[in-house]
Amino acid sequence: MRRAANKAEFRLIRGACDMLRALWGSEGDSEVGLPASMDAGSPSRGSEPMRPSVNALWGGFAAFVLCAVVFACPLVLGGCSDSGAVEQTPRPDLVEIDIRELFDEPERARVQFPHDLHTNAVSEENEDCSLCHRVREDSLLSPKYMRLEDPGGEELMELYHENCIACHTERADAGVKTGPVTCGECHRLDPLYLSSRQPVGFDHSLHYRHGVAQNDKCEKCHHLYDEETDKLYYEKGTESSCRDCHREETEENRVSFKLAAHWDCLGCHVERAVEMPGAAGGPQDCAGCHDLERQLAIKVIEDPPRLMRGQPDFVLISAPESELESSKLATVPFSHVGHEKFNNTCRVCHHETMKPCVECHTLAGSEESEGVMLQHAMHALTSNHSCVGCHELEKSDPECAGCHDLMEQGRLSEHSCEICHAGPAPWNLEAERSLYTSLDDFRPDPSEMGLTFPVSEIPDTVMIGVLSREYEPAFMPHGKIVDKLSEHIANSKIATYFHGHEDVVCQGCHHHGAIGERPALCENCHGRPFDERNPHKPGLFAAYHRQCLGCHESMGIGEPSDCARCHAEKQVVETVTPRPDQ
Amino acid sequence: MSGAAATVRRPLLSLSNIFTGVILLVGLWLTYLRFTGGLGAVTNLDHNNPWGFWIGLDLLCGVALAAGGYTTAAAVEIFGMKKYHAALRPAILTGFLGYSMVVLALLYDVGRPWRLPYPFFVSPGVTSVMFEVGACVLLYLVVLFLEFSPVALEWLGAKRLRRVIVRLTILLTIMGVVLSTLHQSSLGAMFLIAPWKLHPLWYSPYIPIFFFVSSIAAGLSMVIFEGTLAHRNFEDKMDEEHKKTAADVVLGFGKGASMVLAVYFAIKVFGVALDNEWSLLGTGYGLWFLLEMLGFVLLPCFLFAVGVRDRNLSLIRWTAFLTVIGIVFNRFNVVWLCFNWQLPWEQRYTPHWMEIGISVFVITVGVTVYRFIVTRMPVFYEHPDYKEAH
Amino acid sequence: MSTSRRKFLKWMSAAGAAAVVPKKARAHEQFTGYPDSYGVLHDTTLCIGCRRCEEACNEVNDLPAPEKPFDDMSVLEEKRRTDEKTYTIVNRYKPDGEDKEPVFRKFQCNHCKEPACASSCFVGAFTKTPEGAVVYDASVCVGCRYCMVACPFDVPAYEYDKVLTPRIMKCTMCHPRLLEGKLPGCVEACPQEALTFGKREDLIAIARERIRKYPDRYIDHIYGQQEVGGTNWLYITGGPFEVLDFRTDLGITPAPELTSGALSMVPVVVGLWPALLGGMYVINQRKDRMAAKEKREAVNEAIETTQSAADEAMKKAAEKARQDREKAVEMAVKKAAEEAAKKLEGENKGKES
Repeated sequence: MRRAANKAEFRLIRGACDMLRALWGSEGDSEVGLPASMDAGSPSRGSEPMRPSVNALWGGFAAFVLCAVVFACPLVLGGCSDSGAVEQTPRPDLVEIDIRELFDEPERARVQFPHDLHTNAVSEENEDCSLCHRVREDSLLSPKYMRLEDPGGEELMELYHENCIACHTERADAGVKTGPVTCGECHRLDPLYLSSRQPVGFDHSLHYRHGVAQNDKCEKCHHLYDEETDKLYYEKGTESSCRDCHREETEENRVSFKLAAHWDCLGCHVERAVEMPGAAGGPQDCAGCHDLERQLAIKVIEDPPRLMRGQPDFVLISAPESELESSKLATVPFSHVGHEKFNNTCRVCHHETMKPCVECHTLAGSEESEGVMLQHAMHALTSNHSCVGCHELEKSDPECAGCHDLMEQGRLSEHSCEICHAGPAPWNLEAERSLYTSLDDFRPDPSEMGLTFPVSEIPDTVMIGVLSREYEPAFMPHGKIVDKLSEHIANSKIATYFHGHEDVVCQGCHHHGAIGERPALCENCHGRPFDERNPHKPGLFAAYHRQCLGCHESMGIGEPSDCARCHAEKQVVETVTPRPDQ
Repeated sequence: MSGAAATVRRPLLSLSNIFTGVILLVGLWLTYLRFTGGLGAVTNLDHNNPWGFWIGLDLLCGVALAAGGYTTAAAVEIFGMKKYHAALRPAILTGFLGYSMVVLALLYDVGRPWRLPYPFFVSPGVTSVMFEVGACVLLYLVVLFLEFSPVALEWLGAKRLRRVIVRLTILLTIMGVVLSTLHQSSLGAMFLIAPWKLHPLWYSPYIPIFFFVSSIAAGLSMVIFEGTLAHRNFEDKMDEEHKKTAADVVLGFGKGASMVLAVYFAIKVFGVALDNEWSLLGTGYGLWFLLEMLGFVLLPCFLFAVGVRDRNLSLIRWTAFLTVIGIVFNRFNVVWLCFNWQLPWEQRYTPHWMEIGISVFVITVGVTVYRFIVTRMPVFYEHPDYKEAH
Repeated sequence: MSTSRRKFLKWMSAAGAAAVVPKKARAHEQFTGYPDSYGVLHDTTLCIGCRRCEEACNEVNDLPAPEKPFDDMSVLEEKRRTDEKTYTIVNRYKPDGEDKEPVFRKFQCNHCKEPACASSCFVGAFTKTPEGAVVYDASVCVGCRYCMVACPFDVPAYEYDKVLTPRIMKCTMCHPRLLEGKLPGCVEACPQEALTFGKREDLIAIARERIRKYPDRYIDHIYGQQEVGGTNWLYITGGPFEVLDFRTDLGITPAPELTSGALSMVPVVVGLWPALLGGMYVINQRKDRMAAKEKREAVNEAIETTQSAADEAMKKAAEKARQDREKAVEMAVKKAAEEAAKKLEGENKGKES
């Protein structure tokens, strides 16, 4: 066997060497330039072998294998990363243990740690969190594993390895189903789990329930920090969102929101669990808060009582006091109590702090507002913190979108300024402020508010026959459409407010033009298509179809290709006459 | 010494002649179908796949494999390798017939073949690579015709005319190499205009160079291959010098082919490296590419070298056949198998049996004319009246 | 043919110099497209898939009637492509799912600014007109179908079933109607003005304005503005282009640029190769001659040497023969002398007695 192997090796190597030599050697052939009569060798060495030489075959095989290996490397390497994709189970409790940045040349992948799996196992053994989490000075549990402070990379790695693997080994010895002990099973290249963690926050309902549970003792959760004494304290009337101070990352003296939430929330839940078994005292596992299904199962209090924090019912929004003298625009009467109902949390508007907007957002912007001016804070179209931004979102509701989708986005309408800016002038505000106590002081008399013109002025049916050629004229149920739109508007408070003038709703279709009882007809402005003088105005044919079909599409009504729904096909088509818009 | 040795009897109704006759008859019938029913009646070409078997085999492979003409002429006349002289006339003949059959096949493939002169005489489209291919092929066909004409003229006994043409030999040879370089590379350059349709492993800005270099290897291998077949079937027509130098030709051309294939392999590797396509080698097409490179380029390169070193003429001959298959493989990959590679399989093209039939017919016509010529004209032997010319 | 080395070097350097001299870019030859060429902007968010454009195209171009009539929407269930009887088709896509609103998109020749078909046609059957349309001239077409290979959008279709007059069939942007001041058939028929007609530069401005006005409705990209060097048929969509069967891997290089490099090598080869090959031929001829000459000289020298050797040998032999003769003569003389002396001695002795 050895001999045979040697022989084979020998042939392979010999074949390969022969190949190289053959390619670059000159084996007795005549070279360029020598006269034919003086050529050195003529192949008169007799018979031609009947089969290729065996060495040649071996050499060829060697070459093939060598090249196959060289070329197969990218094949293998490229294939490796994609192949073996394991079915990933989604879990909400994934913790990524990744300390690779502490190492110069990390050798292994990060570890996916399913926390709930472990808390379940721990509770089965009638142990508690302190099995893995040490208690700190302030008697809170440290969220770190088996330690209070972070040691260096090697030490930390050892800490994990020793403790994790020890526990797994123990339980395995005891015959209990447990986790892995080999390197590759924890440090997996292809992740086993997919994180399905949903972020969780407080809304009014949940906050109310917590308040009830704490007997309205706000100090249980809300605190302020005194730099001088390095202590936390509570001051009534200063309660705000945790995130106002606790940010994404842990800062010097202030933990990240994630840590703060898990400490405080979980800590309290764990405490209460002593008396209230199960999840009655609040969830203690990851999934309880972060799993979508569990979130949807959280009991919701419909219409919780108003959160009283000393906030006003009614405000006249103006420039900050120091700038009142120099501001000119009429103030904005704002029903704070009314708007509280529209948002689940205060943070939608009070996105950094519970202070009034104008404290940071001065007329010219300030450092606290990162340069965002008051004007922008109030009117930014794409921000859901701003007044106008939030109002814009209403426009995409199917009941509103029919008209609003066709209108240019990204621009403030100049007509709606005075609807909001209906308050007293700012320069006399101090004196006049006490005169106004609610929005009703500014709301127009409902009897004076007309959403549309009187019914007698609105045509019931409109015949559109100006382009009629292949189809019969269309009979548009104009009155019905106006009625429907008015109905939608009346159902929405904000819509009523902004459409309070009788000619506003007409502009949904009778746009870009003179308004009044007798608005312009489509054909007064829309004529030939592709007019270079009016490049953005469609021709009459498209104007009708885009307006009508566009509205139907945005409101989710009707089948656009069903032409006969609006106009019947003509039996005899007059194709000779060109279309009036051509 | 007289030209031919004992002549073999070649009856008219031999088996091969009958076989040929059947193919020719079927071919004529298919021709009738083609020109009464249009392309749609005999092909599976469609709007997504306008080029198919005919362009692949008859055009691309035909031109590549007829490259023996210019490579042999260059070797003998320009590089002065006189010992390959015996291979020159057969190579020129193969080249001439090869290109003639390319034109014949074009008459089938093109929608309006009677308009083939249009690009040159009516409305030249000089921005087109195909214009260049057409012009060069046309001119090269003339060159080949002139290079071959002494053979016919010797047969016809037209001494003076023959002398005039023989004087043009070196000029014709140079023109032949120039024109061949241009159209061999341009057949590849035609695909430059569709980088999105050709698989990245076969597409490269250097496709023209790939096609040109591989055509040299194709030509050299085809001369060996054709020589093998000729020696098997027409040995009686060969004179002593031809038979004596046959082995020289095989060895010399085998060595040349080995070197050219090595160069071709190297530049193909450069091509892959240039476009950083290594990761593609792990895909299905990548394996196909590796098969082409390793099995049909590197392997024959190696086997040629071994054959030359061992003076193993049989190995060289089989390797020449392998190389010819490899060239056909490469051309088919470029124009068919790896073309439109992103289309779903249902929309890919497979040839109609009639397309294959017509291709077989065209090749058979070429072979038949070849047989006619070599059995009558001084291709494998020197005409006794013109001995001093060689 | 005798050529001196000097002459040969002169030819080579001349050919080489000619090959590397760069072509100066003359300003007035930089063509950036016909300034007032027209185009069409297709807004797929407006298309409702009514197929009236298909019907109008069929009518205006006198194309044969299709299998299913134009108001049969069941054809939208399959993805279609242009063929020899259909210059344009509308396809339906459901990018948001089966139960959501479908999106429609019209497909036809994009009338590229630098068309691949025109570049690839070796009889110049395609022309990019100043009006923007790329038109096909069936009177010169040979039917090689290279244009079908070259087109990045797979637009041209071929009449494979015709024997004597097979043509390439593709949208013409209704060029004859454009020359009469009319609109292309499809544009005129669209009830939604999903197809906007105008000068290409104006269309880009219109598209930009639409995207600016309705940022949530459109993807911020005008397809055809730069693709393969720019096309005269532009598109704006509400979703990713690949989903609507737009090829996004085409790059911005115009098709003619892809082959101009290879074509520019033609004069180089035609200039250099003859010089190189001619030079090699001459070198080999000279080598042959030199070799023949050396052989002749070697033969002569061999003859001379042999000759002189032979002469030498003969001379020696002659000399030896002479010496031998001399010696023999000497010997004979000596012998004779001795005999004579002996005889004399004998005579003297006799006389004394």
